[in-house]
Amino acid sequence: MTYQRFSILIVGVLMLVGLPNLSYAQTNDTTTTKKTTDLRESIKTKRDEAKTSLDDYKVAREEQKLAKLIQYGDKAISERTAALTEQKSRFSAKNCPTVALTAVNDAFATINTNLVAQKTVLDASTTLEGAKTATRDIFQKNRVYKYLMPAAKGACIAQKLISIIDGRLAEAVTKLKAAGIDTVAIETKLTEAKTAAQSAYDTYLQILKTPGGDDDGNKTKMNAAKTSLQTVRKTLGDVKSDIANLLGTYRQKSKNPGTRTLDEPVTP
Amino acid sequence: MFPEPKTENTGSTALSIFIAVLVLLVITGGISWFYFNSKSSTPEPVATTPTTTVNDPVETASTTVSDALQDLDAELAAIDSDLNSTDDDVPTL
Repeated sequence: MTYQRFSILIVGVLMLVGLPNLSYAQTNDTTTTKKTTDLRESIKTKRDEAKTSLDDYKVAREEQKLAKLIQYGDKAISERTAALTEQKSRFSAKNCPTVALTAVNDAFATINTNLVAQKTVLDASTTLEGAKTATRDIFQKNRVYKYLMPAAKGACIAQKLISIIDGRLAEAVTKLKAAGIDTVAIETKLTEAKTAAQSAYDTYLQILKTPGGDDDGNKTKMNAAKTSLQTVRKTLGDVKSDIANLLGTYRQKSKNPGTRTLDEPVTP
Repeated sequence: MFPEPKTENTGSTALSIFIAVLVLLVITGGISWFYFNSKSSTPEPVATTPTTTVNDPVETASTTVSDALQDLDAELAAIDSDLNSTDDDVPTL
């Protein structure tokens, strides 16, 4: 009997103390999941509509093919427009510096305009071959998923890294210098990182301006930009280690500006 | 000659203790619920570290770079995933 009561008490304690923590943890999990919701999931209805429309076209009778293809092309345009709107809403001044954000918004606006123009051409098609060409153009001249979106992400992160190098890290160098610490090596690495980030940004800009048409060219550019970002990654990692190694000396010198540290040469 | 053992009283005392503990747990649970929920909605308290250290770009350089590299890794992964997308492939018409 005593054992049973004790068990009830234990269960009670776990439930009463554990539940609030559980609900707190669940709130945080929901927020994280919401943030990372996949773009394709968020426009699932439009994607499903386009897919159904394509299936309808494929099984349509010959005399209905033209109308069904136009219908499918319109759905594909609608899906791409929704993807653009959704992706655009994910960029803000918070995750993309103004200069890059402006370029990204311009690129998205251009693609939107292209899609509107292509819809007009497609809707006016009078032959099946004409409609097929117009439909192919929707994909080939507007590589929304393959080039526009990743180039936009790349441009934003490249510019963000430049802002950090020119901002907080440049300030850190100034402080280290003021404390009498040699910063030549760090400055060299920061210059290298900035040059690589700028190169990545410039390349992503080129892709943003022409995300359709030159498939091979864009693929090469994407790889080049990625290599530049990997250089930034490595160099900034080295800068981080360098500053961490100097932290002890910096703290000591900041406290006692006149004192000499062990790694400093003794001047006769 | 000998008094009978008082079994009824022992049972009711244990029940009272049990109920008292339950009430206590309900109160504790309620307080912790309010504590955790108010903690999640209110802004993070200001760090008690001296301002000079918090704002010192040298002291925070490691965190600054780590955060930037973390963002970079996430974006590179997303970019790679986009590049492998087949959503721009023209379907067979």
